[in-house]
Amino acid sequence: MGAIVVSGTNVRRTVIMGNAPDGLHMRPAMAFAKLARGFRCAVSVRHGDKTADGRSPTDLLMLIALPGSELELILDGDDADIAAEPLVAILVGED
Amino acid sequence: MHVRRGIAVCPGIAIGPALVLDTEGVRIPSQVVPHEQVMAEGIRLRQAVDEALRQSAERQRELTRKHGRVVGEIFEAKSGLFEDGKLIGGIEGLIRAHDYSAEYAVSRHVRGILKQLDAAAHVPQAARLRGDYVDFERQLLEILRGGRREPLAELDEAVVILANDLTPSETAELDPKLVFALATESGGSTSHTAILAGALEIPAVVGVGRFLTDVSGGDRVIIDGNNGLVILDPDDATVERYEKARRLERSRSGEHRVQSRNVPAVTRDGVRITLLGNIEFPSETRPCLDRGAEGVGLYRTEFLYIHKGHDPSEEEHYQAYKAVLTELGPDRPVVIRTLDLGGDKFTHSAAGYNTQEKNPFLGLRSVRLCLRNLPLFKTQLRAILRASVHGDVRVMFPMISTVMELRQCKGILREVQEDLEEARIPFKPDVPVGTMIEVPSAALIADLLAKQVNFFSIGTNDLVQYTLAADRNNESVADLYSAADPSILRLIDRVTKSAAAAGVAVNVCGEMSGEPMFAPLLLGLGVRQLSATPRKIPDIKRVVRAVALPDCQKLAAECLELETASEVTRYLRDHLRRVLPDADD
Repeated sequence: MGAIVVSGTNVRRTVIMGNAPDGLHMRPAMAFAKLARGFRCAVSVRHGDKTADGRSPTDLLMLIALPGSELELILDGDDADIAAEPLVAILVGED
Repeated sequence: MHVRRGIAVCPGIAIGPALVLDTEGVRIPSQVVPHEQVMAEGIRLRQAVDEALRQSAERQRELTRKHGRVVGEIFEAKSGLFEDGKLIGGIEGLIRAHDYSAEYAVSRHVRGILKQLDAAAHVPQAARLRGDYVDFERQLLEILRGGRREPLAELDEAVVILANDLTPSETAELDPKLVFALATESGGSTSHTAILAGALEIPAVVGVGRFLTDVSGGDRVIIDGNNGLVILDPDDATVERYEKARRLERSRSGEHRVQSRNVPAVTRDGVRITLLGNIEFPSETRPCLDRGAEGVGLYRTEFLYIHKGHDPSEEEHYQAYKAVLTELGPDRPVVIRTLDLGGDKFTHSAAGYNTQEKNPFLGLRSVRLCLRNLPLFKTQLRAILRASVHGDVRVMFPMISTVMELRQCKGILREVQEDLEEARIPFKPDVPVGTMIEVPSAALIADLLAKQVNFFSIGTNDLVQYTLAADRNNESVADLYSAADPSILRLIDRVTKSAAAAGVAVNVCGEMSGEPMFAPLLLGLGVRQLSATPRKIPDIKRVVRAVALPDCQKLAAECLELETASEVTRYLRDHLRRVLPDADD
């Protein structure tokens, strides 16, 4: 008990973009980046051959993700486990 | 180096720094700062970003208070771009790597983003995001420039203007001495930009398609108005080649001009043709005479109305007319066309004109607008009559489509004359009155209209557009728009015959009269007076001097038998090549 987790956690989740009518647009990108900045772990989102820094809304927007696009959320850091769920929720559009 | 192809509308070559006007008219300045100033530029950027954030927060509070949370939140989303560390970092990176000014770096970086969005134009959100980033750029640039507006009127170095399109009010502000050339993304060969470039005699290319995202202000560009090319970021060899061509061109056109001025416009068999110039601004009068024009065949007066927040006073009209007359002297004619504003040329609505018409080209424009707004109309007519004491003034009504309209116009002109008589203000009582023939109905009733006027002027631009029902600015249907169409030839033939029967003079003042290949045809159809952009006059004069009237009449008769615009065009080109082997139409 009480063991300190020294190594970071690496979480990878495949997410299908939610059905917001016109894909990943300004508002969810802002919300996502804002939330990502609140965690310590590195957050990136991959779409095809492009990878975005999850803390930069512009980066996320340039993924040009449409509803139904397959995204990969990659988290690396000690709070990656906690971060995964709320970030995924924004991408699938359950807010 | 990128080479983009558009429609060549005004010949010549220009090389210079770009001034980019985006759809909002923002000027994107360019510069590189001294290396030791790079740190300071980074700080300026940071401060501007902080200020933008502060302004956004303020605006958001205001919007929330006024319109509720939902609107406020939408705004918040956008302002979040100023907190995007990677975005701001990217701009800073450009400053550090290339010694760019903060403004230029912002503009450069946003161009990159817009380019990515344009590549994804099929995606619905891309267009909206584009607007958000344009806003982001504009907001930062405004802060960086300390809220200074830099209107085109205050240019301090000569530039090449690149824009999506130019509004009439923007173009009216241009100083021809400081504009080397124009290139626009949209527009066709008869768009306002094209006409303006012709008037200013500067190289121009229109209808290039989207290219503004590939260029930042200050970048070196070449406009090749001979071949319709816009060359972005040219390599040194290309610049050198074009510099050489430009020098050659300058020396040639100078000689050509002097030669042309000193010879009369007479056909080989001795028929005298009157060549006049079309002008828009009083300052064009001198260039017009320099190129051998015998007067002004079309003085457009719209410049008096646009780029102003108010309708022009009688005195403003009078001074503009007097300036032209003084330059022309007492014997050279000037045909003043009354207000011809239409949906395409009008931006402000000082007198409450409805610019929201669904179909402005078929709406309340031109003389129709004047007849519904008599104070506006009478002000102009009074000024024209007052100016008549200074020279050979003629008044012309545009867009007449019925006999009734023409009668009304003449009635109002009479009223104004009576008012002037009563007030004992001098004017010439016998000012010749004419009408434009630019609506098919007017061409068809030319015999009836001829009873009312002293002269006709065929405005081919509108006549072609209305006859073929093709918007001259719409690239998708621009191929239908052709002055060589058999329908246009027949209408002109009808007008000249009606005019001849009534003893009324006929002038042609559209773009058609400035195209060398059409000159023999128009002469053959009975036209003895052509009014064109001053720059075209030497070329037209050469053609006139190279042909004989009987040949022109034969050519016209043959063309009237042809069935398509392209057949007519080919026929006219071949003919021109025969009579003037070195002419480049």
